[in-house]
Amino acid sequence: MTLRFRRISFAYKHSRPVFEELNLTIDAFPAVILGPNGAGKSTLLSLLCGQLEPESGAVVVDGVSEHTKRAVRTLRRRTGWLPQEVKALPGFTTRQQVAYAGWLKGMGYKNAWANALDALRRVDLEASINRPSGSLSGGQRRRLGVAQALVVNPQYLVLDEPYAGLDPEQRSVMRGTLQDLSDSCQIVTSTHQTDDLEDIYRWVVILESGHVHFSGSTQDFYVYALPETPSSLKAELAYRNVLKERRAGTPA
Amino acid sequence: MSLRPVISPRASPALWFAPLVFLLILYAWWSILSGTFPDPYLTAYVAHADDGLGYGLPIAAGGAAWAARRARRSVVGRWAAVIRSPLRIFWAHTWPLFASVGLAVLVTVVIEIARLAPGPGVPNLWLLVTYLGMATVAIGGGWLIGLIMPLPISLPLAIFAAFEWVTYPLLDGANVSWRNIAGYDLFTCCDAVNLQPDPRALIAPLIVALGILGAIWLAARLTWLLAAATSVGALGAAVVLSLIVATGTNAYGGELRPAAALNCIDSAPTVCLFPEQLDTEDGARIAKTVHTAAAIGITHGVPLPDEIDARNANSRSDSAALPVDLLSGMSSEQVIASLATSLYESNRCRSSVEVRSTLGRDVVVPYVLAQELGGSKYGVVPSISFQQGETPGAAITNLTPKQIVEKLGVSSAAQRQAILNQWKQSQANCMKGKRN
Repeated sequence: MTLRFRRISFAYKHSRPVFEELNLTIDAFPAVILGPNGAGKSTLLSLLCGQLEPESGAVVVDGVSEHTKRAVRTLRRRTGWLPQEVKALPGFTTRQQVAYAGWLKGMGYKNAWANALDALRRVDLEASINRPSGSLSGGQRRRLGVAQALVVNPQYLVLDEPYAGLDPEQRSVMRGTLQDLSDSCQIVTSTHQTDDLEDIYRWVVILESGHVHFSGSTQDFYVYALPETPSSLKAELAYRNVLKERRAGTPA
Repeated sequence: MSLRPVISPRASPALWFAPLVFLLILYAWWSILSGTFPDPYLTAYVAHADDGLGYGLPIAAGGAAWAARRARRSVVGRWAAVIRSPLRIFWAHTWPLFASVGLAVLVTVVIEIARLAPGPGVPNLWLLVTYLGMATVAIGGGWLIGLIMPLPISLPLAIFAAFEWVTYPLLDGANVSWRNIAGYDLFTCCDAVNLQPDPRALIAPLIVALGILGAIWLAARLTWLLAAATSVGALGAAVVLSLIVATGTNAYGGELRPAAALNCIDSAPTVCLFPEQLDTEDGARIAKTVHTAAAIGITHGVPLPDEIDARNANSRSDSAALPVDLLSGMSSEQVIASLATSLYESNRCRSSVEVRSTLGRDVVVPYVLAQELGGSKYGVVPSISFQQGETPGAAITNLTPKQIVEKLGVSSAAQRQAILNQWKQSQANCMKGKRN
């Protein structure tokens, strides 16, 4: 699978453009998008899953451009999406909320109801299926969001900061979940966490202020770290060096 | 198909509001209409349900506003890159309100049937489609308000706005026919068996409903400013189109039924009544009264046509059939008075009969005709005086039948025959003049 952002321009209303003629290709998965706050990571993921539509340019997935409404619809149907904030719907149980997400994605409700149980199993929330979704902890709610994304059996899984607000133990559980899912879906995430890069991701993108500073395999990315750097710090150092070089005007 | 609802009962404000909507429609309908007795006419029974809707639908709008506020989190928020149609989402969240409205209408019709027993014939089921449109306007309007405003504002505002739509304060002083865009005046459209809902009054609320559905679809599909502009535009265009369609309708959204709806009893003269009247005791009595009156009239020299029709949309003064108000429940005297009055009014020539009565020829001649058709001396007077009451002035309404008959001055058979001959002669002269 190949994912291409071709000459994408996008701006929120009454704001300066986030992207101007952005070109980006992702050739391997799972892929991670790194960057400081305000870099455009969430916007890029929203464009990828069809939540936002570019002013010009196109997202091309496996050679198919999502120019048309039909293509956007197909992409949305095939894409599971975890937004930064997962809201509990009042009055819904965990399973009902996940099934509702599947129904909103175009599934028949009977199938969505059956898939919801499977999706909750995959994120280790099986024991909470009858609990009100509003009673879940922060970590459980992130996993609920992943279950919502999984309920449609997605081809692509787009996760916006899946570790946000999680304590180290919850992060570890989420990391395990992502590793398991990487066998069945093509995952693209954004994150500030760099300590698990080597374990999970095969492609790294670094964004800053709407510009791509780096896009390449994880091995190529680690070239930016010194060989003698301890493995736990390698990703962090490589990330800093890429940003430093780009800010100094040196091509990455 | 799964029986499990997409929105569980615990999470569905529409479901919580549905029983209240149901009870309110029934309560309002019963309070207002339990004392009324329309003709035994199914269309009238279905139309009566409309009156309860005026009270139930504003509450349904409130329920929809609450449901929309909850749905907004999942629909408008960046929650799940939704591909489900906005109208399907609207339906999934609000169907209990539609169901309760439908059930309430059904119950009102069933109670009305049990209470009044209809005559044969099929009701005008387009009324039900219009009710669906009215429910869509109220519930869809509440939904739109709920999508864009916080609950403490949207809930009361949706109820208030829907109630305002029912009571039309914006149309006060305007063309009364425009009120039919809301559909809440249809409940008196068809109490008499010769009336039916005006198709324009049925269509006008449906156009607004389509505008609301268009606005719901657009509101979720486009960026905020464009969505707001196009939604308001769609709704505005629908209201304007609805006003155009409703122009020319009467205040209660009814019209006379067409002649094609009549069924005739083949006899001399042929009497044509509506299906709800035929094959009923009441209809048979009316037809028999007309036949008897015609037979008596012919012996007295009253000129009668070959066919007498219950008044309908195709009734014209120059048609071969005489249109007469023959409504269910009329007494024999009322039928004869109606026949006499119609006979007098049907001729295009202005009568030149000279009468000495201060009440004028427009009362005297119909009275004479009624007498010659077999009406009793005093029994036909209330119907004649009622129908002709405006001609001689208000004073007639304060007189007893005996006093009116004294003022008419045609108590003897000879006097009546003289008036009848004068009238026939004046009509013959007039027609001759027209032919020349």
